[in-house]
Amino acid sequence: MKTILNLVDDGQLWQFHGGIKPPTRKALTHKVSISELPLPQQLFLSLSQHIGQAAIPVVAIGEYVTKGQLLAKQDGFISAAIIAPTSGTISDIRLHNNTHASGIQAATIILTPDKLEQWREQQPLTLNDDKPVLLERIQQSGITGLGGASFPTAVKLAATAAIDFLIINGAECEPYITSDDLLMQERSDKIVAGIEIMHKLLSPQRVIIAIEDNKPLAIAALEQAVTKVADRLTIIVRSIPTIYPAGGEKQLIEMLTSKQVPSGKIPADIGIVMQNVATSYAVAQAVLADIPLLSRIVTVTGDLVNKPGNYEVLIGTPIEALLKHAEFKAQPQQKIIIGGPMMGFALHHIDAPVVKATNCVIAASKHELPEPPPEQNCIRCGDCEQVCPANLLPQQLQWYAKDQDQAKLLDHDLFDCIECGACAFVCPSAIPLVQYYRVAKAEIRQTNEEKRQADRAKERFEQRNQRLERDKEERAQRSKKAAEARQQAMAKTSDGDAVAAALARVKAKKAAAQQTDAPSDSGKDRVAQAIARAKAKKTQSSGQPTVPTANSPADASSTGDAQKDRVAAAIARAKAKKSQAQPEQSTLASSDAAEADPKKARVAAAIARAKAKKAAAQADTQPEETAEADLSVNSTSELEPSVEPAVDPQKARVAAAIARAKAKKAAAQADTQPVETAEADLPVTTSELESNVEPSAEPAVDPQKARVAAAIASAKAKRAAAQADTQPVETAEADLPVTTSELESNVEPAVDPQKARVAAAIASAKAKRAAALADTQPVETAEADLPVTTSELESSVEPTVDPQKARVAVAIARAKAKRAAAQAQMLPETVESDSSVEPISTMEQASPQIPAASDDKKARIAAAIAKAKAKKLAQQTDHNNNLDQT
Amino acid sequence: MYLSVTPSPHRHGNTNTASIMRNVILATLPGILALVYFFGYGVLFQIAICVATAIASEAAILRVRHKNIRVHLSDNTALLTGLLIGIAIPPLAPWWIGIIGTSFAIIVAKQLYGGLGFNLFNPAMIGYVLLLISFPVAMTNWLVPLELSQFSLSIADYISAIATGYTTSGLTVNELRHGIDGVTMATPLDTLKTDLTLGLTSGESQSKAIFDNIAGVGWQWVNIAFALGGLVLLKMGIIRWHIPVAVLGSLAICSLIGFVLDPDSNGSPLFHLFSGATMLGAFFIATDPVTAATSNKGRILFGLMIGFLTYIIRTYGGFPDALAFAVLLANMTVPVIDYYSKPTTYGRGSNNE
Repeated sequence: MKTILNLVDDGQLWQFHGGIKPPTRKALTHKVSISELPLPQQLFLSLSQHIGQAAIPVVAIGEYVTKGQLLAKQDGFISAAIIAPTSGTISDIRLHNNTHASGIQAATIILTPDKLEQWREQQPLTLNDDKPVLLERIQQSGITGLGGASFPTAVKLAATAAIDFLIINGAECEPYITSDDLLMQERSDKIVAGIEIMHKLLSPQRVIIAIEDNKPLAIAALEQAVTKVADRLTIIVRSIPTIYPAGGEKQLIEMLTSKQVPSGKIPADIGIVMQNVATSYAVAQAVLADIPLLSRIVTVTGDLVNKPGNYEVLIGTPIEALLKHAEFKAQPQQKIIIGGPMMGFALHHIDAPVVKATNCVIAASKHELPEPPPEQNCIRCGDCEQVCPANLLPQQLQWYAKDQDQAKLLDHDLFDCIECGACAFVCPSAIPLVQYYRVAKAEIRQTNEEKRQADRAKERFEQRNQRLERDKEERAQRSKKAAEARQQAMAKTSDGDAVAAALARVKAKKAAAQQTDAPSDSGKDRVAQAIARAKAKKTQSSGQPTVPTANSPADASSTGDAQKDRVAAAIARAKAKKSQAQPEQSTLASSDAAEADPKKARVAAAIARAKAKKAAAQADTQPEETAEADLSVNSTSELEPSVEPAVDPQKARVAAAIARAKAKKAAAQADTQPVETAEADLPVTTSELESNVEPSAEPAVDPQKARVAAAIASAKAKRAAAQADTQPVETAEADLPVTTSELESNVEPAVDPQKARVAAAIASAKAKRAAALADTQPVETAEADLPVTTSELESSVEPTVDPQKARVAVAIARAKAKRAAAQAQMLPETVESDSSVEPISTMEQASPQIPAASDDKKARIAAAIAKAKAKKLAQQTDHNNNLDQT
Repeated sequence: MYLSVTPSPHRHGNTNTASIMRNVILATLPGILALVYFFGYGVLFQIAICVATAIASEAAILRVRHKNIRVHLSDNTALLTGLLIGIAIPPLAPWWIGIIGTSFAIIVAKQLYGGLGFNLFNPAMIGYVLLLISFPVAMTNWLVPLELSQFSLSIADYISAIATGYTTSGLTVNELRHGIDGVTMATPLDTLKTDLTLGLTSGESQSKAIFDNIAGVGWQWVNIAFALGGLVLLKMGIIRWHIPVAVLGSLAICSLIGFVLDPDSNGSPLFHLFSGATMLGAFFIATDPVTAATSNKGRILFGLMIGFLTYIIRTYGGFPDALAFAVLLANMTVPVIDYYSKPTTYGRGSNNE
């Protein structure tokens, strides 16, 4: 049983599956000897012209370099160095068009030759040097596979496994290319010298040089060179049949040794190393002459070059220069192919440089290399699988590639495709099969990358979740421990009323926060104060200054001296606030105390309750005495003296009753919602308005007025009560007719029917407008409201109508409108106030019957009060809402 | 200066679908000539009708599918389908037979499945089987070989018979089938089958006039002519040897086994091989690349199946000539055959050294 080695020695050749025999078209150049290309203007040395990591530049822009100097060192194990092909200056390191199928630019060192060919120091080695030294020299010389793949040679030659066969690939199976052919014809001695070096590095059992049988001259030259070293080394020169792609690594191995390289493995794994003849030549040059990889042989051919041939070209020469030297004739449209027609790529930019893998440049017109015919349907003829050297099913791959069925593609071994192009060459339907496979491979790679990232992200997400869980548990543990400690501490110091104390504290804080401008002098609960201040600021910024609350009493006392009234009002206001604050302050105090001592808190709470009771009790006593207990009562009592003696005692009683009501409300302030406070306020305002307006009225009207006031007060109360629950606008709308009807009902018996009608008209008009409030902007509505009301008033007011009544009605109407507006939306007071002012003046002007200045002012003030109250109500509502939220 | 950028490979072989189909059509000429010589001009008229229908219906369906009519018609595949149907149907079949069968084959069996390359079933066989099942009488009115016929027909007779069903002298096609001895003659296969059911032995049946030499007057020469055409295709490399060899081989082996076991009830292998549509089917119909398996292993399996099924249906089935059915049944198995007959990729063999 003969071993493979025996069979190889016998000259046995095997066959690989498939293969095609395209016309070789090598006649143009296969006898043209190698000539040197003149030095180009610039050399473009791409940093990534090999398999593996891009090289890292070690020179700077502007630096002078000598020939053979290292320009870029290799980055990592699988990488290669870039050497200066000639001496000169580094003019730039930037992106430049790279010689690649993609047309993408790559980082390039641009070298401007100085034509001096200054060499660096050269240190030739010999075969006697150690293997590591030889390998290092090969590595430093930047030698990569010159057959087309550009794999770093030093890495390949560093194989430590036992090597059976060292195969030197001189097949050159692609059509057109003759660079290896000429190299073998002319420089076979150097090639053999390189083989010797590699033999030393690898110690293979056999060395085979494979040459296709269409290169008889090359075979002869190598056989001659081989005999010269026959005493040292036995090299087999094997002539192989001319089939494309016999020169492919895997196919050649199968042909020469019948072995197949297992999928996913490299030939070294089965004891075989293959190198191109040009690589072997470069190795010899680098080791024996210390000439690193500076140049290579490039075949320039095609029907568009007048001087086709094989040129020795410096790495980095622009293709442009090469074509120019070969007398390229540019056409409107042509194809410049780098490499052979089967596996080479079409060049995008003619200024791309010659790289280490460039073995051929074909400049072809449409006649030589026609555009591919249009793709047709696959007729399932199976010719493609007849020719596939990897024994694949290209037809099925094509179906699945079109379908993007990645599972089936992998099932059919897509990645074993060597992209030789034989299948596409024979396809009767002119389907660009290899392009489909390239795209499918890229898609699969992308899917794998995405999956990998997704898996990693998922992993990180799960780890993060676990970490958060852990943290949460730890926190829970810690808080539990702290709670226990606290409880223990509290159990020791208190008798268990901490909860009540805390509740009291919360209440106090809440009440304190309700105040917009509470000038609390407790000074202890600063937080509550701050909250209150913030709230105050907020309402102020929204245009509802707290001034109206102060203004109301001031406006109320419109009789007599306005100034005096204002002062009194201010005092009244302050007192009101103070009284409001009192329960809170007591609670505040109590809350402070509670912090220290729950007992004290209870005491403080009791005190507060007592005070409230007292205030309420005081409100129940005679009106004069209410002044002491409740400030709102005080305000009323204060106001009363400012009222002119003409005030009806009945009025006073009414006022007193109202004041009582207010007092009660104020007493309950600490517990109830501020809205109710506002409720309490409004009737007062209105009634006060009435009471204050009344003095100028005729005595006969007074009882009526009182009724009116009462009616208004009750109506308002109702409205305010409903405010907290329903929408402000609707409430206002709902209320207006009520008020109006109440007004009418209360007023009618003693009022002139005409007046009643007027009032009714006004009220209805206002009601309508308020209804429109919900849709349009309140400001404008309010604005629109008042003048209309005024005009309506004017129109409906007959000369016999009491101007006072008219004014009252107007004021009421305006107030209502404003309230409705305020409830719908909190708008800048200023606008409303301005608008409120104008209509009044308009009204005044329009109705000359209406008395002059003082009345005018009164009316204005009354309107302002109403507006202010409305705002305050809205404000309180807002505070309420804020409190609810906090 | 514009640089044209297209993907590799930048060279293309000279094969294209249109030239392949054209070569196949040319290879059928010997067989057609033999048919004309032995059975008259009828076959030419049928071919004309079917080819015209094929092209017209393909143009129509391509228009409906919004495809480029010129590009798709110029690949000659519709032409070939029409031709094959024209050869397959009786020479004096009514004119509408060819139209129905061919239009169904092109429109339904080919284009509605997705067009060229996407059809699962052989369109010509689908058309033929449709006709056979739908119009059994018209499809079995095979003419008697001219040498055995008592009538001689002129061109006008052919045209009139195809167009109207009557010759110019008023004879029906069925009457034309009367042989010299006045008995209606059928094809050799049909004769043998009928006689076997009638209780005659195959030897007795084959002593009839219709059986001359091996496989019947006329029919054997037609088959030899088609085989010649097929061999030419093989030489040109347009078809590969796997399918014809597998079909003929399995049919021969099966009929040999049957003949050896029971010679009185079976025709001889030679009879089976050279009678009916065997050679036409083996070289021209079964080798249709679209509907056959793709790998060589798969093709052998495909061919074996056709041969075997042909024998079975001929012997035990209800039809005298079973090639169409056998082909269609084998077409159905092609996706499975393809999946399980994948070659071993380079580097993935279990015996990698």
